[in-house]
Amino acid sequence: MVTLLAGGMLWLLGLGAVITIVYFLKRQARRAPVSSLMFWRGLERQPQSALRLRWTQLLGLFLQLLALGALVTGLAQPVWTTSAGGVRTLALVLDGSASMRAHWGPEGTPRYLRATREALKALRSNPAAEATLIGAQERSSVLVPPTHDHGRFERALANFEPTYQGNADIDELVSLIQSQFPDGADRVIYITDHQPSVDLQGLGWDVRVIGSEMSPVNVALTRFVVREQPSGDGVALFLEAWNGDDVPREFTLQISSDERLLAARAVGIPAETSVQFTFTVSGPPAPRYLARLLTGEGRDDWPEDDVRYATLPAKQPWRVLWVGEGDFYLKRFLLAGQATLSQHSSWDASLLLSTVNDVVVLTGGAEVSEPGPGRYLLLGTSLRPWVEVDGDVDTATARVRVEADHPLLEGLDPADWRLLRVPRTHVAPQGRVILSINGVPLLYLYEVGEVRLAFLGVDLGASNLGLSVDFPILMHRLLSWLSPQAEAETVLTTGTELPMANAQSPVQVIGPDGRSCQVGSDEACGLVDRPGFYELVRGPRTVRYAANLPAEESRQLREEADAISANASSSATTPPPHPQTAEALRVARPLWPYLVGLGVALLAVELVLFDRSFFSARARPRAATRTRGWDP
Amino acid sequence: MAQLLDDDFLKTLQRLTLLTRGRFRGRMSGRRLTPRAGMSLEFAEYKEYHPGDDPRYVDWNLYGRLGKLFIKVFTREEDVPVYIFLDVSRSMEIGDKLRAAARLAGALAYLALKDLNRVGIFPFASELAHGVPPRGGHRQIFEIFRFLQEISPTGETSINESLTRFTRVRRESGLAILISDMLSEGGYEEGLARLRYHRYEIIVLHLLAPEDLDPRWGGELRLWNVENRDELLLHVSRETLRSYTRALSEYRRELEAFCRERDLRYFALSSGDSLEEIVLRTLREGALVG
Repeated sequence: MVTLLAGGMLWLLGLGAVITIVYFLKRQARRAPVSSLMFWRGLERQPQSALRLRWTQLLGLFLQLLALGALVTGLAQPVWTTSAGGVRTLALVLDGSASMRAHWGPEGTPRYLRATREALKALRSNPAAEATLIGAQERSSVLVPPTHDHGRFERALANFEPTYQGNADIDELVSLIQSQFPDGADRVIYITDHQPSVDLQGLGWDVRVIGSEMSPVNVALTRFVVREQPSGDGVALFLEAWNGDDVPREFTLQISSDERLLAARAVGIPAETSVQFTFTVSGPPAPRYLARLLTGEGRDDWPEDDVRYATLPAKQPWRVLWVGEGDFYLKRFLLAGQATLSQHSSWDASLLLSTVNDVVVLTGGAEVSEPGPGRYLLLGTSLRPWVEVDGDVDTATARVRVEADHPLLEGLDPADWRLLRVPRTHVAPQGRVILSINGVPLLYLYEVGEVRLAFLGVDLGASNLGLSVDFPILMHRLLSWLSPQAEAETVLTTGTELPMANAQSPVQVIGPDGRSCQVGSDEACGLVDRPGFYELVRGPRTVRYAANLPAEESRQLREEADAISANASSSATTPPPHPQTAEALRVARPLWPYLVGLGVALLAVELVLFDRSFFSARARPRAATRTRGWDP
Repeated sequence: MAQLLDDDFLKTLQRLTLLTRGRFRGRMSGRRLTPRAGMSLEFAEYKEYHPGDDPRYVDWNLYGRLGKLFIKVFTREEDVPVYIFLDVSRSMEIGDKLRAAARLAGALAYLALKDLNRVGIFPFASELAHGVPPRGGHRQIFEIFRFLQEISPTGETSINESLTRFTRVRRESGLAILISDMLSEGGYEEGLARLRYHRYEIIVLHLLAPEDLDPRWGGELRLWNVENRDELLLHVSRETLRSYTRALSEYRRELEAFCRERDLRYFALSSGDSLEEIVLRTLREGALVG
């Protein structure tokens, strides 16, 4: 439908009457005075040429009127409104999770290529839309902000490649779309390889599930963990393999460490089932472990999920709040790499709130009031109401007595300890005295509710304990009993960040491909963007991490097959249009540039063909009128 | 009509002379040699004495040697009658030809009077009209200028009739300058031939307007002859204009050939050119002014 934005301009069509009148006036012969008719006689035209002249003049008039019509209509700014242009705003959400890399067999088309073709089709069916492209994965991102430049959009689609991340959070996607189109998008098309768990069609989204046919082999390693053996000899390896096919499968499971094959076993996995396997490897632990499910070259639909990586977890140092006088032996032990210290000379109840700590160490001189819940290591000092010390007891000739058998003492020999004196101590009866000397509690453990404390009634300056080999063992065990040492998880999932909090010294990240980057530099660093081993180098210390694909990505390969068949029937019905769609489908195209161009062209033709005097007047040089120049 | 010629141009004319080819018998002494023996100091020739000759010019030395009477003949400088025929027909108002013609006539008259000649202005259209009779002297120039300034177009061009009429009333030959567009339906040949027969030295100044030479109009036209009110309906196209130009050029060629064959001097002029350009360039190059 054509509408005129400036319809008032059509009054100018009245100029056509003026042109017509002028034309007929021009047809009325003008009177031209001449000096003589001598040379004009005989130049009258023949009747045949007169007729031709009339027709030519009429054609000239017609061209003039046509040019006027085109120009005036152009000035009226006609706009052609069409309903075939699609929506006004379009948000294309493209699943960028790892499973989009899956394909049917070695020659198959990856899912993401199918998805980009579908996106291209959707874009071209909305040629006038302001479109945005959003990559939907665990960390969703805007790949192309809203633009009318569809060329740019198509280039972004051509360069699209899925990440190794997991599925997108739908709430995050909704927020992203909202940030791009604050008034809402006329149409949201979500192209993915699995049926979302949330009912997106209820939001008005057009969900299109892209998938391949059922793959010939759909298996994956979904879990791989390494732990040190409790005995300290070797490691235990825990694996979980999943068979998404509807028939049982048998494969070979290989475990290696830095190109060294540690174990290989034939495993059978029933249909649509996960099976766990355990391996033990003796000898010193290796820095990296790799498990691989051998399915045969090119048979699996997604070979990348047949491999998983693992490293041993890293131990975290204890965070110790030290209150009171310093003790040479204990402090040296803690600073030898076992703990980080925060030292204060006097107690303040707010210390527990203002500091993060695993253990509070109280030494002589620390007057503690209102102790809150926590883990306390008392070195010959009181902590009311559980432990009270008053004076010393001379024990120079006494022997330490084991009151109760406890793992803390395993392998130790307290009888060899020589103690010159110990504090006279009264302890709460709820606790347990492990060691005593002359009836005075020497090692006392208390654990009720959220309070756990250990009392060691030894003056390390007046004994040989600080110099004996038992001391670090006892201290390590006491601290482990009070606060089991935290183990930092070193197995990560792609799409997460490497743990680098509180980094005070420069941190270098070495990725799976061997490339390194400095945290804080311009390049993106610290994000686990692909499976493999990562090394975090901070000063002399290196922590290794193993990054694996999200297990649910592998499982979606099976779920997707069902979803596709379900979607095939549902996709036949077009999703309900967005409330704004009906209006937005109309696309207006200005016609006036074409009309003005036509008018100018017609005028030019008329000028060239009929107004010969326009050119002839300029063609003759002025000198032709000079006296001797008007020679024939 | 504004001042005919400005002072600067008149000063320029002071340095120029109107050049003639032939010798004419004058009435009063002037600056041109005449065929008659005169009273000047310049010796011309010896002539055998006949009764009636002035005995004061007998060369007695020669009589002593030859025994015959001879008299000395001296050259005589007389004035030249200059007749300026000015076309004042209505066609001369096209392109302001009449004003250009009047100014040209004034300039030529000034040149002639400056050299002590007699100058007369003879306007003509369908017939010879009363103009300024030929006279010499400084007063004559004012007379001529006044006349030229008041002149106005009238009637049709009839060159033959006008010049024939002139030759009947004037017998004294001289320099005849014809200033006209020469667009006379009746032709010009007879009039010019009669002048020539009466031994006038004839100069044809063919003055046309740019509108005559290069008409710019086109389309449906009613061509209107300003002289006799005749009309001609015509669609003027580029081809028509080309044909017109061809016909005009042919006419001019014929006129030029006519003049050349009869030893008349011919000048093609345009009223679009300035008077200075006409006099100082065209007429000078044609040796009419020197």
